[in-house]
Amino acid sequence: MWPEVGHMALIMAAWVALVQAVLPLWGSLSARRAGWQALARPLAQLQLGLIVLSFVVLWHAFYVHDFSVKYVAHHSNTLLPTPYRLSAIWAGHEGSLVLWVLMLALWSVAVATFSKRLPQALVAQVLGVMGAVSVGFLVFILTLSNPFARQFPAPAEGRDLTPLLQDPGLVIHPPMLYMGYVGLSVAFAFAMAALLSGRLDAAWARWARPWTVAAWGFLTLGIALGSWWAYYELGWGGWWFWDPVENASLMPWLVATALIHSLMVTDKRGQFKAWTVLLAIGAFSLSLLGTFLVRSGVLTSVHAFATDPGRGVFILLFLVVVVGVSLALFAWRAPQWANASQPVAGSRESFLLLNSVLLVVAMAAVLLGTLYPLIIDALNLGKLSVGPPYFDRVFVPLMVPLLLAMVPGTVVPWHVARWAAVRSVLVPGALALLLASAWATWGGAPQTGEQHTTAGGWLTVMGGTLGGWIVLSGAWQIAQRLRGTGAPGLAWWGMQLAHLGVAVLVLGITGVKSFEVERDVRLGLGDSVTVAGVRYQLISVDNHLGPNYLALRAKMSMFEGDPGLERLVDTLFPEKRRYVSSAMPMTEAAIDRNLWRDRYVSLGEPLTGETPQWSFRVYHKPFVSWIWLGAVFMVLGGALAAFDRRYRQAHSPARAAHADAPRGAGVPAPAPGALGAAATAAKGAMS
Amino acid sequence: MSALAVNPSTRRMPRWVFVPLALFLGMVVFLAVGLTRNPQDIPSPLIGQAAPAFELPVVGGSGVFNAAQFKGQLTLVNLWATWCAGCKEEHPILMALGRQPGLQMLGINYKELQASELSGMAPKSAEAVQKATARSQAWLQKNGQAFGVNLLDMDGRVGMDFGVYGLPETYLVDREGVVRFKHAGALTPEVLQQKLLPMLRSLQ
Repeated sequence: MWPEVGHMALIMAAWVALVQAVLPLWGSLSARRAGWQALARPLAQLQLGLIVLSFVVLWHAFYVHDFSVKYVAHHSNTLLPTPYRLSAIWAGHEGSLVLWVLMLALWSVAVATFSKRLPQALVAQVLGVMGAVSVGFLVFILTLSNPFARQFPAPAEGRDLTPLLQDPGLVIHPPMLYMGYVGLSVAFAFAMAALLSGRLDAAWARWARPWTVAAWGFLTLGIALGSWWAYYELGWGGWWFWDPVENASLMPWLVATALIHSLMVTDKRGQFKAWTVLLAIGAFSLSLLGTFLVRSGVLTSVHAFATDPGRGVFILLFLVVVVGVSLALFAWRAPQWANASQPVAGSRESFLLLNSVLLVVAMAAVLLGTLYPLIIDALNLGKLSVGPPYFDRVFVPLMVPLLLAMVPGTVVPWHVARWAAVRSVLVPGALALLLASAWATWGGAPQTGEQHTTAGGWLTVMGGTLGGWIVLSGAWQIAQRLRGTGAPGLAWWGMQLAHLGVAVLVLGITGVKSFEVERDVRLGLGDSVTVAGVRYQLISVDNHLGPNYLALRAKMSMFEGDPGLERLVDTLFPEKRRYVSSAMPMTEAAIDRNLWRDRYVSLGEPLTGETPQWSFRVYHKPFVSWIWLGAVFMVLGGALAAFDRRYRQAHSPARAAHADAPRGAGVPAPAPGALGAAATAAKGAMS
Repeated sequence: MSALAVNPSTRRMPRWVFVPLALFLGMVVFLAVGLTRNPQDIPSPLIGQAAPAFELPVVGGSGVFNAAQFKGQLTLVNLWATWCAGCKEEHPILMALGRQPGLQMLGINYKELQASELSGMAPKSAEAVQKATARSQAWLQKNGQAFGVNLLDMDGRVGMDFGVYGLPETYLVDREGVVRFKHAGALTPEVLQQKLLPMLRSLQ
């Protein structure tokens, strides 16, 4: 009976979402029905309640092993440990869509709750647009992806959750990622509200900023978790594979990053309006495109869900409606926001414009690489795949100028070029170059007869300099700021922390790319291999019984020091698991981590021969944790910025427009644009 | 107050505002066409063409197999490796096919040692060949001797001539040495019943 209740709740949620999409929007556009705007908040709350109900019902079906529900029977069995049974809800297509609409409802209610100071018309429009998006997804679930579909007689045992997904990393990776994807719908809804009403002022941008930063933070966390999970779970020691689905998450991230920066210009200077709106549409459209790519089967990927052409058609039509309508509205409204004034070269706006352009070009490069196989196939020119070499070659050269622009972009003032400000951070830059050169020369692991080189090259110098410059000049800016008067706001600290995160990420990538050592070896019992000064000795290989798998578990001791004076530093237990319900063997790499390096061992296949031997991969990965540490800093920076009180004020104090100018750089004369923005902000707040 | 603002002046609608919409619609066309295709369905330009010429050493034997030996006998060519999971999956089907009269079963063990395992060895060096031979034979001993002839394609040159995308791949070469059928990925009972067996019957 319960699954039917869950199904009914979803149907009702779809109707509620439809009402939420129509009435408040109508109310906001028609003076006679202005009262309808007030419906937006209660409807969003009701919708959330219904979706939570159906989500809990689905959870219950997993918990009690109700295999009469097809979806449960496909993704769970009685041996599956409880935490994975509950996370299995988002392991398949249907359940993950329910998670999608749940997230959307959560964001809607969050907007409804934290928007007390926003004009009612804007809230009604934003929630109306989010309701419309929700209708699309709920109809998709109800027509083509019903998670509550039953089968009778119910099988006695279910299949299993894919072993790959039975991991703590996967319990939280999809929810975080979806929070990011879906959170971008808030920025999108703000953009749509601006397009519908024609009102786009500094206040609009200021209100949209914390939502965008919050969604961006979740997206960053989701991508980082996915990368971290792939690193230890796939056993290849890689952390980014340029897989189509990874790209599908990176593209909205790149545009959302551009959007955060562009919104700042719209907020502070009243410029880049059309561009900001376009980025807001683009970021959410790309997360919808990602949904299409993953669920339609047009591309091959390790992530692809079971494919169904009907689903592909539905999402494509939905994509056409959502993106087509928003871009058509954009074409109608954008001319009135076209920029009259060009940013002064060397001013902060000009650096932020460069940031936007480079991020969008990088996104386009990734999009092209991802869709190229599809385009070539559609043109009947054959089949091909685009691999990491393309992406590395295109992406890195675009990121270098972006990172180079990061430091000057944060020290120069708005509106005017002030090269003195840039000169002041050249000393940290020179210091970074010096340190990076030293790193490239002496940063490698000890070589003990290995074939792999551990000396860095010019890429080490470049990555080290870029990362180091951001760190050192950030420290310099903070020191300057603390000596000055007036405490910087949370948003400023958030920016510093997020930029530090980018630097740490860059240093991590540079370190691991420059100095990693990888050995593939076959080892018998008692055999050793030495990698980066550490001797790994295979002690034993035993069978080990898990709750729902059988594992081959190797015991590997690590010794450090000169021969004769060696000491045992740690013991690792890499595993090869075979899950009861699936033939697919799974690698569980064993990793000895610290901040400076990972020692990573993964157990391969048993090899046949006179004496038993096993293949092993042993990696020495310097600085690899910095990649995820950097992402964590970015997320924390985003969280700090999202909580800045200034974003929640209805009025922008005129001084705030220049609060971010560094001390000593002087306060530029207020530009006509700034006055206009302040005036419209006040007007917007009063309506 | 009505929130509907004054209509923007539509006197001059600059062309750039349509660029995003046009780009998006262009992309949609490709996505729509993409929906009608199966990315896993890789057509082989080899169909109807003569099989590529090659000569490879026979595993566990002293001789070589030359592509000229395709002539006069219907041959099923299977590209496989011990490290390929799909190969193990489809092996029972190959075993069953081996019992078909008048069908020569040819296995090509493609890049048995992957780049990372070679660690400095030349792919065709004696040491590498010895290692690959041992692994190849042990695997077949364990999973079944499906191949009348098993060859080692150490450097993957022959596989590349066949246009291999991923393992396993299966080709059917007729008595004239012409490739008549190709399947990428593991053979399934459906492929066997619906495609391979009818094709075999028509050729015999």
